[in-house]
Amino acid sequence: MDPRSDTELIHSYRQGKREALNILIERYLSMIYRFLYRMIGDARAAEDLVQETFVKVWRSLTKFDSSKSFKTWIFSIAKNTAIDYLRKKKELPFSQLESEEMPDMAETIMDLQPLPNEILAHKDLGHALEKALSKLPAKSRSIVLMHETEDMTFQDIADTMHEPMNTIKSRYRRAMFFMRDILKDILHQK
Amino acid sequence: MHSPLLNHLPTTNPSPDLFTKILQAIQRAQIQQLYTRIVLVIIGLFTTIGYALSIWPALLEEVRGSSFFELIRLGVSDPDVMLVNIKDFIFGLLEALPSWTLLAASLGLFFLIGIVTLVQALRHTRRSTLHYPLNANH
Repeated sequence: MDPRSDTELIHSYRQGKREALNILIERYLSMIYRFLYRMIGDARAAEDLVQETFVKVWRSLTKFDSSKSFKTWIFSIAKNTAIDYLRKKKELPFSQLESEEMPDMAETIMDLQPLPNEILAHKDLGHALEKALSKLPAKSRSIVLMHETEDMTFQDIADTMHEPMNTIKSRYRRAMFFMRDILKDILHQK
Repeated sequence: MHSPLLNHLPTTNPSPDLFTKILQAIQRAQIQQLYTRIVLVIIGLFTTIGYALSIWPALLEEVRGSSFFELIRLGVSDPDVMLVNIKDFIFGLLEALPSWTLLAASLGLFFLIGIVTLVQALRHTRRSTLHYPLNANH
């Protein structure tokens, strides 16, 4: 594990040390793959999109603003790559990008209630979660994934999505409610 | 706010050769970029040569009519006179410059150097692909 920060590695790469890019790729490979796989649900296509993402990173690395977070930047590229792929596959109508088609949950509800233990202990929970995730609109799915599986803060996600933090929080909350409802339905059907 | 719900998602890992595939993809993009640049520089060189040929009589006339080379010859044969009148000599030299001819020659040289540099970069990139053969697995 290379102790250098992302910024130091980018600086090294700009000075002509090509191996710095390899270290950055190794550092983010699993994270980006996991994110893309869960965004599109196809392992083979996810690997192609990972390659596309890193080629885009390589193309723009010299122009990258080092005062910003590399993680935020690479996730922004990965998210756009996934959304472009879904749009090309016609799985994502443009309207869905503009207005997230989810029931408008009451913003006054303060906290997400934990799921009952019987659901959390369900043996098919993992697959049900994948299914519930796939039913979320792409933008909301990416917010949930970045926050829940990659431990990104709402501020980081807001920077990635180029949207205000409150919008991100609101989308996240609605997505979680929506997903929990779907999850309950899926698991109760079994 | 943060819930551990998605920790229950099945674990998923990339295939072990994905890292190599990424490097190959970057190298392919790099080679493609170099080819594009080489083509652009070659177009630039041929455009310059073509333009120079089309105005060749004018360029030739400019060189013949210019006192630039005579001044150079004078400077070489009689450096003492040149040094005494160095300021006038330099101004005279600048005035007598066959500017269009020099511009065409510089552009041609610039594109030639560009081609050599890009071909060298292409060779270097191709050599580095020996570690990750481009035709493997993809």
